[in-house]
This record gives sequence, structure tokens and C-alpha cells, in this order.
Amino acid sequence: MIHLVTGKGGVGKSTVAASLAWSLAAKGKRTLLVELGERSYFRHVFSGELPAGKNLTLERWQGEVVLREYLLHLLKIERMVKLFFDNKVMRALVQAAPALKELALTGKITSGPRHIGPTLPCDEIVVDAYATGHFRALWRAPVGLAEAIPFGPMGEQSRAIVRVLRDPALTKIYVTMIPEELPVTEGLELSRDIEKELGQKATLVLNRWLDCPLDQKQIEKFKGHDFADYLATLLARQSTLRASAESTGLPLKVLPWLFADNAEEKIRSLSALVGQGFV
Amino acid sequence: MIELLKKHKIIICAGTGGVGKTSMSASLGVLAAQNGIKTLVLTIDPAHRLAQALGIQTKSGGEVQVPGIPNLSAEMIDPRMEFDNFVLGAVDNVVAKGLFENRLYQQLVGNLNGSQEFTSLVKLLSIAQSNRYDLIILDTPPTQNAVDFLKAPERIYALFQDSVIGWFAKPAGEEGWIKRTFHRGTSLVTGALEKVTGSVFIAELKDFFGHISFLKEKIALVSKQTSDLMHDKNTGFVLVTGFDETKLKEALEFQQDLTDEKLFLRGVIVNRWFPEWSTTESRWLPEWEKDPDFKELKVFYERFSGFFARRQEAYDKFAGQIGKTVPVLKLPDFKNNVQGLEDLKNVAKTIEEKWKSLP
Repeated sequence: MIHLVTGKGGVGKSTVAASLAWSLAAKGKRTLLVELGERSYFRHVFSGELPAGKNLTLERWQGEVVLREYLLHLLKIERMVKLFFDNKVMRALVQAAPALKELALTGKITSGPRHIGPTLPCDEIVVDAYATGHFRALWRAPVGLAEAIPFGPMGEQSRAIVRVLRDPALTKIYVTMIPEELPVTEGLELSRDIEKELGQKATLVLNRWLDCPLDQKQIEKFKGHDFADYLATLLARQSTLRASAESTGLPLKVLPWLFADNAEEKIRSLSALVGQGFV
Repeated sequence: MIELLKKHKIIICAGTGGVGKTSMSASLGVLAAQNGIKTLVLTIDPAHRLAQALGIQTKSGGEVQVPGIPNLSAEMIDPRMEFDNFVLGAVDNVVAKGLFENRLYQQLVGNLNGSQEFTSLVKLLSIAQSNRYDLIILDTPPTQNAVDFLKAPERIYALFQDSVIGWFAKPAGEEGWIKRTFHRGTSLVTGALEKVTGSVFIAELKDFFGHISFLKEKIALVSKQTSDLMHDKNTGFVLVTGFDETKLKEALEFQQDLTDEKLFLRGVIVNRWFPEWSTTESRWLPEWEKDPDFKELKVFYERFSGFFARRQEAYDKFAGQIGKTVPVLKLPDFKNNVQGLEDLKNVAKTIEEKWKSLP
């Protein structure tokens, strides 16, 4: 199963992705947690060895490196790949036109079900994918190229990738949000696009939900105190936004706000909740 | 801060997504305008209500006078349209039409790595050259990394270099762009590329490069001019960041990158660092003491306060590193999300107060 985790920047999608991976590994599934891009976030988070033991592996996939791997797989000759990549022109093309990198990445992510390339040693892949805007580019690369290139290997590959991404039995997409207007608006917009363009129903994850021991009515009694007023505003806002997320009819999972800044500590606590099928 | 805004012609608000860059840019705009500086805020994708407040609900609506704030204008940039306009301004209609019809252009240019950043800078450049404003505040597109913004024009420029274009195609009038020129080793590589992608893709690619070869002079000129503009002493960067250890680390990297590039970082805003209530001295009323709910509330309050006290330690470490060279401002998490003009005025006021009280 492929799990793609996205969401607006700053909503904690990396934390959610890691918690999901951790909980899958804890259940005995061989899990691969993948981060995309130039810099590793998780290396800073998991200081020592990975917490969930030998079931959890962490990898960072860079578009350019993956593209190179793929070329080698196709061309079989290292010298040819080297010629290709050491060429100034190709470098510029790969750098500027992200579709190639995105195509290589989605290709690798979906390589298991497509039986292409080396087998990935895992049952579950959890991808800490890009934030909303860039995430669209990730699936639109194979979708767009599948349409633009009717014949030839690139078109074929793209169509096969799209088939895996569209299949709910193979790919699951999580849209992470926090109870604030912009992240929810962006998240819901994205999940609409996912449904329209990929035919998939995304799972909405409402992260940083404030579990308050008092309800709005109880807090109302202390009106006038800055802290109580802050809580009242926050609770009103989060319930409104939760309602608008629920009104989509998409599955919604809620994760609590933790009083912690340490990422590893947060992931540890959240993975337990995710393992119980989310609260 | 007012002094800083007066001294500059351009302020670029940079930072990763989700830290509140747009509301900061708008608030700085309000602060400048209130102090008699004729200001334009250029933004990419504002939240709906913020856009409403600024009077820029639609993309490509041009510069709009912000209702209720004299001296302040705002504009929402539509990157795709700007890129198309840039093409139209650079080449004749036939070439432009050919490019617009190319399927790769349609698929790629909207997503071209760095095209949002590039079009933002092109827009900034054209308005700066018009001299219609005392100050332009640019809200940069959200990047995964603050540094990406700086590198974007370079990446676009690389694609338009002679060698790249010449490799795929020669401009019409010389040999015709369908006829590929062969450098040494090129046929091998093209062969490999063709094997991987297929001949249809190669044909589209050649057509694409054939068309964009006409753009290269304009791109080179604009790249040079935007680079000069960014390095101008009247252009300052303000880094907006959130509170989170990773984000603070990234802020340090960004500062280093700016220094390496010889660009001027004028301030750092750590946004939403602590809730407003944690700095006010609101009083608990004695009659509440009897209420059992009050006990719960107080326990919850202590938990919250303890959390923010722990944050202070991490912040001190950060401020110790970055604060030596550049002013660092921390702003509260306001009770209401910053959306309306009143919110912006409030943030503007807070920025100015905090800035003044910096050592």
C-alpha cells in the first residue's frame, strides 16, 4: 500500500507521515518512510536509530537521483547514463522542468505494483510528500504527460503510474490540516482536486486539535479574562472548521494538539493514536 | 521599522509556506502607508478574507487601491498570466502563438520550477522601473525552503542559455529548428533520451526549445536587471519564520545564504511565537474561585504557560545566534486569525512597538 501525506506548509504533515509510518511498523508491517527533496527533516528528528525498530526504514528520494536510477535501469549502461547526466544541457533541463523529476519520483513510488525496477523491501510506503501546491505538480506530471504524449515509453509509463495513483486499493492520500482557516480552505480545495483529477477520496487529517477539558459554555463563565477569551475564540473556530471538513463527506481523522516542541516526542505520542485508528 | 521602510524602495518578505508571510507583507504595507509612504503590496495567493480586505479578490485585477487606507495599493500576481505576458512582450505574435500551442509549454510552464518566483521578479521589476511607488513590498511564493526563492531565476536562466537551446534546436532562419545540430556525443544522448521518452516527446521538446530560443535575449536582460535590483542597497529582505526548531534552524541557513549572495537581510520576524494572553496581566476574579470549572481552567492555563516558557529557552538560543547581526522581532499569535483591515492595523502597530523596544 502507498500512503501519500500532504497538506499546506506548517500543518505538521511530516509529523503525521512519521506517526503513520511508525504505527504501521509497530503493527509488524515492513514500512518505508520516504521524504522527498534536497534536505532531510527526519535526520534531525530521529537522532539515533529509528524508534520502531527494524520494521521501519527511512529513505530520502531526490528527483534527480531517482531519475538517474531509472535511466540506468532502462539503458543498462552506466557510461550512457553518465554521458546523459554530465551533459550541461540535460542538467539544466532536469533542474528547471520539474515534470521529469516528478515523473521519476511518482515512478519510484508506484514501482511496486507496476513490477518495474528493483523490488522495494517493504509492505507499506509512507511518503512525506510535498505541500499542497507542489503536491499537485507531483501527480499532474504523470497525468499531464500521459495526455500530452500519446505514444512511446514515456506516455506508457505515465499512464501506468496514473493507474496506480487512481486505485484506492493501492494508493491512499492523506490531506493534513490544522483548525485554522487557510490550511482548511487549502486542504479542502486540494481534496476536491484529488477527487476530480485522480478519482480518489482523500482522508482528511485534522491535526493540532485542542482537547480542552472545558466546553465553550463552561468557558463563557470566565469571559473577560484574556486566556478564557482566547480559548473561547479557538474552540469556536475549530468546531466551525471541523464542521466544514465533515460536510465534505470525506473520512476525517483528528489528532490532538500536544504541548511539545520536540518532534520525536510528538511522533511517539501521535503514532499510538494513529495505531488505534486515529481518535 | 518605519525608518527601515522609509529607507528602502523594495522590501522582499521571504520564508517557507505557512508562516504568515502574506499577512506580514500586508501589515508592513499598512504601516508604511500610514506613515505617508506610497506603497504597493504584491502578493501571490492571499487567503480569501485577506484578499477581500485588500480589495483584490480576483487574479489579474491589476493594482488596486486598498479601501480605507490611503497610500496603499495591492495586487495579486497570476504567475501563469505574467509568464504568457512576458512571452508576448518578448517575441512576435506568431512565435508566441506557436509556443502557447506547444503541449509541453502548456503542461510544464505553469509548473516550471521557479516560474512563480521568476514571474514575481519580472512583475516587481516592471513596477519598480515605473517609479510609481515609494515602496514595493513583495510577498514571495511559498517555497519548501526560504533559499529556493533566491535560486529560482538562476534555474530558469540556465534553461534559456545558448548552449541549452542550441543543443535542441537552432532558431528559424538559420537552419530551421527541426533540423538538430549535432555536437559531439549529442546524438548518443539524444538517442538515450529518445529511448526513454519516445519520439513524440522529443518532437515536442524540439518544438518547445525552437520557440523559446526567441526569448533568450529578453530573459538574459531581465535576469541581469532583477539580479541588480535584488542587490541594490535600497532593496532589503525580511525573513518571516514560525516557531519550531526546524524553522529556526532554516532561518539561520537563510541568513547565511543571503550573506553569501551579498544581499541585505534587514530583519527577522518570528511570527506567532506566543499567544497574546501570555503577555498580558489579565486578572482572575475572586468570585470564580468557587466554581469547580475554574480549577480545571487554571490547570489548563498552567499547562499552556509551561509550554511557552519552555519555548523561550529554544528562542533565546536562536536569538543569540542570529540577533547579533540583524534585528529579530517576535510577534504574538493573535486571538483572531489576521484577516481584516483592523487586524492588519493591529499587527502594524504591534510591529512598530516591538521594533522600537528592540535593543
